[in-house]
Amino acid sequence: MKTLNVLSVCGSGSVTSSMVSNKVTEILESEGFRVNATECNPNGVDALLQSRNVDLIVNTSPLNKDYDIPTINAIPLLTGVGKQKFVDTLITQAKAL
Amino acid sequence: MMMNKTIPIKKIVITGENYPSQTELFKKVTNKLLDENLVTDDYFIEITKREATYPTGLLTEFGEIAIPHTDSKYVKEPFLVLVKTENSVEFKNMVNIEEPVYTQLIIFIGFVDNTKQPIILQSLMNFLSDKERMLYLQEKDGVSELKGLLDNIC
Repeated sequence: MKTLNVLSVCGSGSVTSSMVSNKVTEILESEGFRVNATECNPNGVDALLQSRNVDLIVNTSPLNKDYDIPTINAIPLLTGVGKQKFVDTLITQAKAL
Repeated sequence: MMMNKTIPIKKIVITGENYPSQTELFKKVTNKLLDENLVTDDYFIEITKREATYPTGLLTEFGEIAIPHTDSKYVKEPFLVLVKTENSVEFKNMVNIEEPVYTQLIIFIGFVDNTKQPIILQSLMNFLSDKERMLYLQEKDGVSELKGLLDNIC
């Protein structure tokens, strides 16, 4: 079973990103992945990337810059708009890693 | 889901008022939260700052809503405050700080330790994309009906 390190980013670094990382974990686990999820706010991303391995970023707030890691906008999980597309993209991306 | 019932979350519903600005709304809600001893004295300034930097307006499939929240260190006891306003209040879109979102539905989320409450967060997230409950939220104006809806979330 492949383990994915997912970083979930939101403005507070806790509330919305926890909602998203729970959901993303649920989706990926149902696809047979093991998930290590971490949350932070946009200002915490750089430090986090130096201290640990991150395979995938999901974000609800805009990031400070582009990272060399696959990044998926997770707003559809909150709004419902484009939710299926998000799920499909997430699974496709996870399988490609 | 069993955990839901064991976590006491204070629920407050405020309806039927006009707010000339987001600041006035935040003042009103902060005063209520201070009265109930649910937040620290810094809450107003922190929620204002957070919303300006990382806005929480959302354009959901079933209408506009905002979910203001700030760091748990300014929260003493967990709460959900649902405000249904008479006029639309301007927020900015979570995905784009330049884009206004006008809404009459605002849910203030206050959690003490977020890591212990994943089920509630999950439940809140499911609620935002749940057609039936989002439409119910838009249609109903009664405090007890809206309180019932919050109790249904967590």
